[in-house]
Amino acid sequence: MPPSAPSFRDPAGCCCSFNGRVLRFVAADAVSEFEKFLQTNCARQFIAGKKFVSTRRLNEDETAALRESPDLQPVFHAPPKGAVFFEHERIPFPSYPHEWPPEMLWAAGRLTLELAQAALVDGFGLKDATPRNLLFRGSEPVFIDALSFERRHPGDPIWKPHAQFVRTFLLPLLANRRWGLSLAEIFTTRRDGLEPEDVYRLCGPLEKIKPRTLSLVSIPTWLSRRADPDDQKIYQPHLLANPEKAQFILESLFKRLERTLDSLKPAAQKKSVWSDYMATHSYDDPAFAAKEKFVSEALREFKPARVLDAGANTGHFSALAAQAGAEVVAVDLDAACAGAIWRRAREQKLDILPLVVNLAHPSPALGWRNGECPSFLDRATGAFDGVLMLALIHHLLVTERIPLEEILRLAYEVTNSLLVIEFVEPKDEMFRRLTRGRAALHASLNATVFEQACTPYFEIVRSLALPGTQRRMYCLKRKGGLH
Amino acid sequence: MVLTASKSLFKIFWLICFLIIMIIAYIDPGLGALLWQTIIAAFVGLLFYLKKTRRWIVGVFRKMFGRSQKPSDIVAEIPAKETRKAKSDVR
Repeated sequence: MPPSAPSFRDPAGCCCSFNGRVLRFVAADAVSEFEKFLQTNCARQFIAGKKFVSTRRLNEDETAALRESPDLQPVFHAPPKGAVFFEHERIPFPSYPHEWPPEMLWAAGRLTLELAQAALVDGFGLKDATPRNLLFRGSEPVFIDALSFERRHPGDPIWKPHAQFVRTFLLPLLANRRWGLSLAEIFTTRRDGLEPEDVYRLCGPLEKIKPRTLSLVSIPTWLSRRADPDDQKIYQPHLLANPEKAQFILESLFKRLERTLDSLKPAAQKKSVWSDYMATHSYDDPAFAAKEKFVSEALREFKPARVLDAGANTGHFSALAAQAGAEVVAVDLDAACAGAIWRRAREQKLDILPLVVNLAHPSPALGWRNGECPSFLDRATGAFDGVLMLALIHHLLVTERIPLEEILRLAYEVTNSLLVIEFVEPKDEMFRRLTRGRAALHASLNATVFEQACTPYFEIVRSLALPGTQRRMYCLKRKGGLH
Repeated sequence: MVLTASKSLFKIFWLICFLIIMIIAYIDPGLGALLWQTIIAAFVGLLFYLKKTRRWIVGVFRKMFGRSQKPSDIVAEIPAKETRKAKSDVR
C-alpha cells in the first residue's frame, strides 16, 4: 500500500501511514495533554475494548531513526522541533464513509457519542466529530484519531463539533433515509457532509416542520439567515460559573444526539434488487451445495489470511471465508446488501468488513491532491491472499462491458495467491437476461476461451461444472512475476 | 480574602487555557446550528435548576417524614440562595 498523505488540518499534530506503520507526531505544546488523555479511564477502557486505537510513544532511538530516514521527509514535511512521535496500531483495511453502508455510519456515530460522553467525565472534550475519525476492524468501528481529545473548560456548556456531527452523521443518514441519497453521493463530493441549508432545499413545506427536520435542518437554516455572518461574538465562549450545570447541559445534548441518531438507524429489512438474491437465485440445492463445497475446499487448501469477496451479495461466502479464519473484505455495489452483511457479521461476530464498492467503477482517491483517501484499488492491490468472484463475471462482461482479460488481470493484481471464480456460460439464464438483445457480442465465449484467458495469470488447480447449471467453478493459483 | 483571590486566579487560568483551546479549535462550528445549540443549552440550563429544586424538595419531605436519605440526595441538596444566584450565571 502506498504511504498516505499526512493529515494536516489539526495544528496539534499530524498522522500518516509509512512503510506499513501508522505514525503520528504531536506538537510539543500538545504532548502533555495528549499523554494525559491516553491515561484517562475513558481512553484505557475503550482501548481495552478495541474501540480506540492503541498508541505508544516512540523512544529516542526510534525517533532519531525516523528523523534521519530520507523516505520520511517527503511524507512528514519536517516535523517541528520538540514534536514527539507516536505509533498507532494498524487497522487492517482502511475504509472511508463514501464506501460504508448507512448502518456503518450509524455505528461510527454511536461510538463517537459514547466516547464524547465518557471523555466528559474525565474532563476532556472531543474537538472534532467526523466519520473520518474512525475506521472499521471487521464490522466494528475503531476510533483512530487519538489527537481528537483536548482538555475542556469545566464551565463550557457548548460542544463546538455539534454542527460537524450533524453535517457528517445525522444529515447524511437523514438524506439517505428520506431521499435515498447514497453515502457515496454525499461524501465523494463533500468532505464535511451536508449543510442544513443543503438539506433544507430538498425539503417540501411539510417536511420542513416535522420535528426531526425542524431541529436538524429548518431552525438552523432560519437562524443562519437571520444572523450577521460577520458577528464574531457568536463564536465567543459562553462560560458558566457552575461546572455541574455545564456538564448537565452537555450530557443532555449527547443524549439528544443519541436519540436522533437511533431514530435514523437504517431499517433492518431493507429491500433492493439484489437483497433477495440468495432466496431467489437460479441454483437448485445440489448445485448450490456443490458450489459451497468447492469454495470451502479451496479455502481449506490455501488458508488465505485476507480475502476479498467481490460481488458479495448477502455475504454467504464471505461468512464461509471468515469462519475459515480469514479477515474478509466483502464488496458489493448494493448498499442494502452491504448493510445486511454488516448486521450478520456483527450478530455472528464474523471478521467481515462490508463495503459498498462497484468493482467496475471503484471508489476514487479523494481529498486534497487526491492524497487523503487512497482509491479502493490502491488499497486493494496486493492486499489479499484470496479473491472470491462468485456469480460476478457475467455482470462485468455484459453490463459493464469489461473485457475478460481485464477482469482476470485485475484479480491477478489484487490477490497474492488464490482466485476462486465462477464462470457463467452465455447460455445461462441470468447471462441471457443481462444481454438484452446483445447475445451476439458474447457468442464466442465458452469455458475453453475462459481457460485460455486465465493461462497468463493463473494456474488452474481444479474446476467443477455445477450440476444442472451453465456454470463452472474454478480454483486458480496466481502465477508469480508477471506485472 | 485569600480564598477569593485564589478563586479569581483559578478562573483566569481556565480562561487562558480555554482561549488557547479556542485558537486551535479548527473545525467549522457552523452558524445556525451553533446558535440553535446555544438556545437549547439555555433551556436545558433552566431544567438543571428545576431538577435540583425538585430533588431538594423531595429531600425536605423525606426528612420531615423521617425517611433516610440516599447519598445522591444529600449531594443534590443546595441552598435556595445558590439557586437564585445561579439563574444569572451565564456570562
